[in-house]
Amino acid sequence: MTTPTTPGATAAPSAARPATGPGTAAPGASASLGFFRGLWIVTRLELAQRIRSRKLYVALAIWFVVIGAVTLLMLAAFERSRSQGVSSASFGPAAFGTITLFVLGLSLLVTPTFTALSINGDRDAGTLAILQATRLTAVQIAGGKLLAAWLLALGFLVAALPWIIVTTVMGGISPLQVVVCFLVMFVEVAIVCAIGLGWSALIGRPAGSTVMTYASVALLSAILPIALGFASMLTMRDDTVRIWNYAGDPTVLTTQANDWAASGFAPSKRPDWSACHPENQVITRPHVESIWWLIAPNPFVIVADAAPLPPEARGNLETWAGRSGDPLAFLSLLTRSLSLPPSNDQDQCSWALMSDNPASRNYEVRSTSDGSAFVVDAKGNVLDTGSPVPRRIITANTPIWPWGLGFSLLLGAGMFYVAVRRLSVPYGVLPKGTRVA
Amino acid sequence: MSIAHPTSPGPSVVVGCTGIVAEGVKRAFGDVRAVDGVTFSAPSGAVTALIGPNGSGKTTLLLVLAGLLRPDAGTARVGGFDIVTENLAARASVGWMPDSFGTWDALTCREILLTFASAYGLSPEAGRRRAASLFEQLHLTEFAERPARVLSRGQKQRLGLARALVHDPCVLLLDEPASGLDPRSRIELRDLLRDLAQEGKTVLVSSHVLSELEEVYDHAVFLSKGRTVEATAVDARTAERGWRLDALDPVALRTFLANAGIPWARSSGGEVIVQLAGTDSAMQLVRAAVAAGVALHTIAPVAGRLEEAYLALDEERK
Repeated sequence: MTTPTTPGATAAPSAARPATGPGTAAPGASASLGFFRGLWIVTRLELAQRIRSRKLYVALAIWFVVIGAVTLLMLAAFERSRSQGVSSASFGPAAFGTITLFVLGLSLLVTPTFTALSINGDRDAGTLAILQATRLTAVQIAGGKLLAAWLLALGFLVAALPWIIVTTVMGGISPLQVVVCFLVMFVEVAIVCAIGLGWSALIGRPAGSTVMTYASVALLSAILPIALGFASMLTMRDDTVRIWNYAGDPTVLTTQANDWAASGFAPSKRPDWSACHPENQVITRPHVESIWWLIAPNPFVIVADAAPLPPEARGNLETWAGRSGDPLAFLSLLTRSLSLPPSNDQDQCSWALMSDNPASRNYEVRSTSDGSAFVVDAKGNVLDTGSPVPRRIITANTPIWPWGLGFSLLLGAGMFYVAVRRLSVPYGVLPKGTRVA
Repeated sequence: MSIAHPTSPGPSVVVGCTGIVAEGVKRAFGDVRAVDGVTFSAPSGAVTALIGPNGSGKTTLLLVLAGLLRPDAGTARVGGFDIVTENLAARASVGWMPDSFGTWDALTCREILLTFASAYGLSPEAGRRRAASLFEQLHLTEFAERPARVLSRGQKQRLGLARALVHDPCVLLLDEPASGLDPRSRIELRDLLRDLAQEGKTVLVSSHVLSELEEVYDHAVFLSKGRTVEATAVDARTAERGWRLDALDPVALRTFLANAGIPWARSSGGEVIVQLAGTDSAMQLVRAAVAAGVALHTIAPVAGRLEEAYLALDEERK
């Protein structure tokens, strides 16, 4: 290291061999910087800019208060409906699912601001080129910015965690559910950060990259589901479907069913379905199973489908969703039902089980999303009535969220790659309207 | 002062600093040919001035040499490293101070300097010592713990210089370093550049304020319309330029000049201006004047060498 020479002084004796101090970057030294050290330099720089700004704390405070207010309001509403005996079911899954989706939605609104300006904003501020001129590589600069933004997004998610835990006091939610939902949300916000980073590298103007980042998030979470809705009309097809109708006397069937229920739903006491006959009918119906993947990368769908369910829910998601009122289960059910072809058999016979006074029954007939009827006991468990109608059962046994998450991860990785390419020096072609420094 | 053209290209281990060598460097932005054939070398241990009018490609050339822009054609080596094939090594050996740059508002001056020290691979301890000595040297110690946003333009400029020097680079690329500096700081900058050159560094300074380069430069590279221009006119010994003369008895001086057949003109200050072909002629004139008994007390070039050369360049352009 050169000692500070007073200006104008004659050259020190060491002048002939400069740069010989400890830690000095000797000109010929191998020019690399430990990958993670370089990454962390950029991350620290980015975080310092945010952490020392009052705006972050104001935003965090608003965030905490808004989520808290919604949580408490919701819990109060559930308490009131419970005290009025609307349902005896546990409100835990409903409360947890609602707040989880709410927090995810707010995260998707907040997260783009962490990276949508991180490259073009720095370029405008004149702080990008001097970083690029150092030993830092493009991967370290892009990665450091991504990591900093991700840590900020995690900070917001963690600030919401207390309220999510509050919802679990309503019961019915395992710590595993909380942990898995959080981990998946961590990944989702990382993907959004990467998308913003890519746009901020691609578009010179900060306003442009902000709009494109929000548009990308909107595409995944709202536009594609709407597109699926319209596109489903294009999948309409004439199908020959067997409609099963009950030709006998419904009161006889109901009496048999009540005996069956009284026996504790013993298999030997099942009602007699000999009067239940199929009849071919041509109906026009959509085949969304060919385009359902449009909603696979939807962040809400991914989180909902990834949320672990209690073991008893896996065998029949339809039952569980109806019983628990869990919006996560509903969303997962919806996605899975869209991904499966509709059943070619429609059970209308089971409705005949409801021909008497409901008060004397301890079972109930419900309708599936593809128009069949099914029977559940008082707790909501699906019963095997011995009906001859083949039924489509939607289970939660094979997850579908890895596809959506995988696609989203590829998208995020692609945008990160774009950012790295755009940060690599020496520049070949410059993005339109940008300067190096 | 050694001229160090690297004779052996390739990623060999370089001892010392081998300066800058550019050959046929071209770089265009769309239709604009910002740098259109630059060939020069800046030796180590010397200050090389990069001179040219606005838009002549100085800043673009410095961006190329700093390893940020890929030349469309030609090659350049800084500190012995090819700026394209050995970009990282070239960047590491260069300290670049752009003409305009920003600061991180939330960071103190010291933090900014430490960040860059580590970004250049210095250990935290070495970075701290280096930062302290640079703050001392550039009179920024009292601002070290203040956020960079409160600095004045000149102080920011000095911080930028400290940033460019933080890794003790062997090649310095300074783009208009004196802009915004007060006279005292300019003099100190000049001395600093001299010291750095004396330590064996390669210093390339661009400026269009020629007077501030006049006393510090060893070599000059002239750019015009993106090209290096042969600056033969700057050979001080033979270049024709105006000289300002004054004597105790102005009449005697004019009589002498008339007798010697040297055409002269009167300057606005009442002094005499003559055109002489370089320092040799000036020396002969002084000798003759003294021999003729003229009480000559002042003889000086009207304009600096750089200014003369620059103006000659300007004429060439027309």
